[in-house]
Amino acid sequence: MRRYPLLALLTRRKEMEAQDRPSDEAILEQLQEIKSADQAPLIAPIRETVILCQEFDEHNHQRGQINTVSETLSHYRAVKRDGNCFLRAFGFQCMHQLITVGSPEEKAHFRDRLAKIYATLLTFPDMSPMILDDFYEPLRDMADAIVAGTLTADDLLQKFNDPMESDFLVMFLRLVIVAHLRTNHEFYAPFCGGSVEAFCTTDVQPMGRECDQVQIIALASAMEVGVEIISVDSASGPRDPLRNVFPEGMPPRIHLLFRPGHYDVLLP
Amino acid sequence: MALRRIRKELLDLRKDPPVNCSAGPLDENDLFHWQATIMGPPDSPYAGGVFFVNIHFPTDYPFKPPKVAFTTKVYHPNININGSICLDILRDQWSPALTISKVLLSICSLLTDPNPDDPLSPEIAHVYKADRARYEHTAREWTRKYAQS
Repeated sequence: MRRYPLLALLTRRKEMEAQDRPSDEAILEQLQEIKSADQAPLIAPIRETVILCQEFDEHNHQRGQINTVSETLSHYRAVKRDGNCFLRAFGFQCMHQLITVGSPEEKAHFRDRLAKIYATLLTFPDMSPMILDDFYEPLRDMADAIVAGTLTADDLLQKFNDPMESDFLVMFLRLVIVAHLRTNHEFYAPFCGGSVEAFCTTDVQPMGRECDQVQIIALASAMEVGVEIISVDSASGPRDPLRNVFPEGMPPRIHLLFRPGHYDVLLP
Repeated sequence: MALRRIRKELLDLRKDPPVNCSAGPLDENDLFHWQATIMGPPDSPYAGGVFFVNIHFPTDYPFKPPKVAFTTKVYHPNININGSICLDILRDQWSPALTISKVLLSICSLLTDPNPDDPLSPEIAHVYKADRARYEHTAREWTRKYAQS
């Protein structure tokens, strides 16, 4: 064994301490990272799902669950954590899927569902074209362009990353949920703390309000698009995440990764 | 975008004004700054008063709520001395699906039905809860003094 004289040991210890303290460059880099997390795109480019393992330590069940997920859904898109992530993820992926692999019938169905929901919204006394059109028209135009084959996946990504345009799309999806909950209020009331109206006011209509199971079921049912929510959660087993498909029994066209408080898009 | 929506709301308000309220820009060149008038609801101690309200639209309206405050003094548990109003839809329950018209109607409801459990003026809330007659008397007094020309 090599022996260090005392002085050398002390010097070495100092060196090690110096190494432990991050360099100024590293600190700046980290600050930049924190800042850029704030400036993270609303919908990020595609990355490999396994990268997400790094967010959990090796003894964490979530790490094993991510590994399992990555076997079938090897890629993901990070969605900005701003309380609108479920809606943005759902809206983006629904249209992306239509553009890339959707059949003409599926595309037309998407456009027709939106038109039908808009008509339903107009029957409510507190809604009017004055309020609704700003939120409906951009989405209707995109649906028309998808049917016509003139909207590319790049156009879609660009629109969803424009903060203004993206928020208008998100807001219409919130109204889709309102329309569905009100139309089916008898079914949903017990899950909404008794009052669908109060629930819409506090948990659906305000921007930035996170979506829970009720909103997810309502949106997926209203749009007639199956969505699979894969929850990685320390409460589940070491390998298998919890999987739920909404509405029940519909083959999922969209897969979302759920970690408490956040949704990202998963891709094969 | 904000301006487009504000213009639409203005047209709508002129076409179909809400009961007991009116609103519009003080200066047609500054559509982000409005003044509203609210008639005291008949079934409240504010009856007979005309209350002025300042409305300021943020540049990212309707994604952010308008700033709304009374310029007339009001004796009310949810309105403070600066005219600030404690109303959930002007804060965390604001939604882009709401409008100035709906905000004014909510303020009218708040005048009729104060919410003393979420007060902005704790002393008035206390009087409201402990001695309703005294609250009504003072509210009527203030209405006569500050909200009648």
